[in-house]
Amino acid sequence: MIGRGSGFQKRRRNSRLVFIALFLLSAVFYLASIGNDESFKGSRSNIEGVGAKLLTYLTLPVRGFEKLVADAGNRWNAHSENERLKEEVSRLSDTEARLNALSFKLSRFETILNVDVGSDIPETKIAARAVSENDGPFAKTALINVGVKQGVSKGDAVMTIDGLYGHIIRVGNSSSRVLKLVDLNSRVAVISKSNGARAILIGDNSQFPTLSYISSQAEWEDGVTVMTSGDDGVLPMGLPIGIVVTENEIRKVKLFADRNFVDWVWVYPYEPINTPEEDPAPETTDDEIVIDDAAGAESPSASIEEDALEPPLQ
Amino acid sequence: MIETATPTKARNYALQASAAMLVAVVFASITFNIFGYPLTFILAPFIVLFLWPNGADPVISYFGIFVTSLILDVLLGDPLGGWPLIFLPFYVLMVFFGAGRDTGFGETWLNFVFWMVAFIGFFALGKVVRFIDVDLPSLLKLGVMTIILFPLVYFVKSQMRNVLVSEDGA
Repeated sequence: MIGRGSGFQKRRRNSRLVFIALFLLSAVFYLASIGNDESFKGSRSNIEGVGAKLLTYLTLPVRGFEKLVADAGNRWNAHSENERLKEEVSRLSDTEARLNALSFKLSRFETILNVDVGSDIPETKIAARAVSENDGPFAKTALINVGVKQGVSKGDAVMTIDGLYGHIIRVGNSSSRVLKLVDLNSRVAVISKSNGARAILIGDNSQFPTLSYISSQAEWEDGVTVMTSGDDGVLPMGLPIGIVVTENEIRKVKLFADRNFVDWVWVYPYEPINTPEEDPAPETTDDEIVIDDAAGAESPSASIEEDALEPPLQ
Repeated sequence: MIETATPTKARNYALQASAAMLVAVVFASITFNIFGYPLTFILAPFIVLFLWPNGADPVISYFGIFVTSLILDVLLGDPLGGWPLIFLPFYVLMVFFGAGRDTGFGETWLNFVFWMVAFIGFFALGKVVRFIDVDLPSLLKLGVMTIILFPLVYFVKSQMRNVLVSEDGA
């Protein structure tokens, strides 16, 4: 036996101390991380950026092989797929015609009423690859390979071709972390497409997130389509999420984006509506009160300002 | 545990195992798409911890495990420090019980299955008493995947050991 003397005892004691120190350090990191996620934001984003690049290159051969297998499958099903697509195109041609007619009608109404009820959903979207998807026991997140450089910001919605996937919780220069809808920490304000009932969609680490804070009068029947309500001021209104399913008398949502494997996603940059406190109006002075002499009446803003200046009635 | 390696060998063992841990961590953060079904091996580092060389320098081993676990936290987007809190005690348990000692493939594999079941059982208990919030079906699935992966890692380790030992001239 080698190292059974005092040197061995000393090393053994040192190793115990190192273990205790590292364990405590981990605990401190963990508590700081779950208590205030901003504490390691900078360094974490940098490492994630490097990680995203590394994983993009490392997964190239894996994705190449997967593509080869998928291509073989597609070729095998090409004929039946072609038939199905032809049927879908003929069905969608009719739908498109109806959509165009409705769109025209809506724009006419908007012109008559002088309002804009256009969709909140941004026109531009940023394509990204989910380089790493974490379906682990503790968190349900994904790492995508776009960041601030490409115009992504915190809170942006992330979509797959089927529906809402999650939203951005951390942004780096060229990578971002997406919190999936099923994660325990996910909360999204939602609306029923059929009757406009509101609820909060809460992730619970299961496949189907739960609908909570439902009004007793609201009807959420199975099969009703759920989409974002925009009430949270973070996500735009109208992003499709899924359909209602009832499990043990608990209303849950079967996500449209529940495809087993997600590779490409779209980030929807959205400018949320700021509160008056966050976006205060410039202060006005008495000189700025405009009297509309031509009309012989005060402008609404002037009238309010002048009313405010008058002493209250006793 | 009784140390039988010289300090130089102990350091080399620890460095090699830490490098293997780093590979396992990167491997754990990759999602494989098998016929449209995603497969992840997030618990793969447990195999490396289980098969950690007995004579490895403990101080270097602790640092290696700590750093690579933090990398796993970052790559998976988990709270920082979460995986070191799991991996460090697991490694200590493995060393204390001499769990990963090579006693032939079959017995070593069974031993690993026992420890994986114990690990999952610990978290299941934590969820029951509402101490830890964990996705148990996911954990169970990952546990099974790791048990299936074990023979491959064991085989690779055996081959690597043959190469390294013959290089040493031993």
